[in-house]
Amino acid sequence: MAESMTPVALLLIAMLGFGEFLLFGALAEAYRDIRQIRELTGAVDEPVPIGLGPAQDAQPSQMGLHPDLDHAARAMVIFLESRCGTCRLILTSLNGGIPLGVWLVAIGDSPEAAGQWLRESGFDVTALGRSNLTAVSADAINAGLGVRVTPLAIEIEHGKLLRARSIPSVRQFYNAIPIAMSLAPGELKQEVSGEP
Amino acid sequence: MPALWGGVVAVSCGVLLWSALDKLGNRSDLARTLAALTGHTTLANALAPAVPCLEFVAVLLIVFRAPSVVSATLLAFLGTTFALAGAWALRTHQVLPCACFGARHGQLGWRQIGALPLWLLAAAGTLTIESFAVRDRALALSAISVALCVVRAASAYRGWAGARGDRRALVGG
Repeated sequence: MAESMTPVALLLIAMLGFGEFLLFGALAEAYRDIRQIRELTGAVDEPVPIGLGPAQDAQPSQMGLHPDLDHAARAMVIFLESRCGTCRLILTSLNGGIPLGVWLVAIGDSPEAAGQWLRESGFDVTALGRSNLTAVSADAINAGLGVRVTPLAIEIEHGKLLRARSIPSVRQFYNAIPIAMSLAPGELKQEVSGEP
Repeated sequence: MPALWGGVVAVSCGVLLWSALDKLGNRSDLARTLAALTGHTTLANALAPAVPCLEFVAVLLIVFRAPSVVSATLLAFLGTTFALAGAWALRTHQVLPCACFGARHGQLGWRQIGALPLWLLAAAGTLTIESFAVRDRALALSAISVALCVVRAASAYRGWAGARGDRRALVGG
């Protein structure tokens, strides 16, 4: 009896396996549908390239950005607007610190409002404008670069605006942070003339 | 040698089962392919459920030790039919979805023709595994079903991980 039941039990296991196969297949199909819906509605966590227009290859200072960026080998300027939910999440995640190679531009109704937003998010605003942290009004940034989408990241290489893209999530923000390295040369030696 | 042939037959049963189970959820795609091949929609709609049924029957005949000539003939018939479908698609210059494993796997053509020797090999294998008892065959069948389940679960897991990552990235939590 026991010997004859074993094939039955094995067949039951096989049938259960087939049922699970169909269920997992339906689940995988459902996730594909979700992905497709996200793609159709644009709710996908992927950066979107944004044209720089006349600002392409321009010097950052010409577009109202910090003059130090004109000499940057590689930098990323991040624009965050105080009324943008994702911007607020990104700013909160930074916890008062700015990653190396990132220049943060906070946009508010006024420079004071943007500064207040930074202060509330734990940033030291005493060096605003003199460092890689800037607070500006929406009108000023529109007049300069014409920023319409936030969060926005503009890549700068060798002192030129290279490319821009949207940052749809905190995850994409941290993926976009550049690896910024620089030499640290010692004192320059005086040129030695061959003549006595 | 019987173990090697047993392995060959087990793999062919796994492929047939995967194909049959996937077709259960995608009969319309198979019906469209059959309609394009035969030129008759009514015939195609009648044949569409028959193909996965034949695939299941082939596996059950092997598991329950039906006369090996019957299993071998059915396996050879299925392989030949698939190859003929591929050859016909090539001859008529039609670009048709394979619908071999549901709707997602390539086009009819050289792949089906190339697989014919493998089906004939599996058919020959069924003639040499007479020594395996029904219990051993049922054990192999349950192992195959668990393996198929694991593969499909991995696909579902990847989908879940991607969806969860997107959701958390965009709305948090």
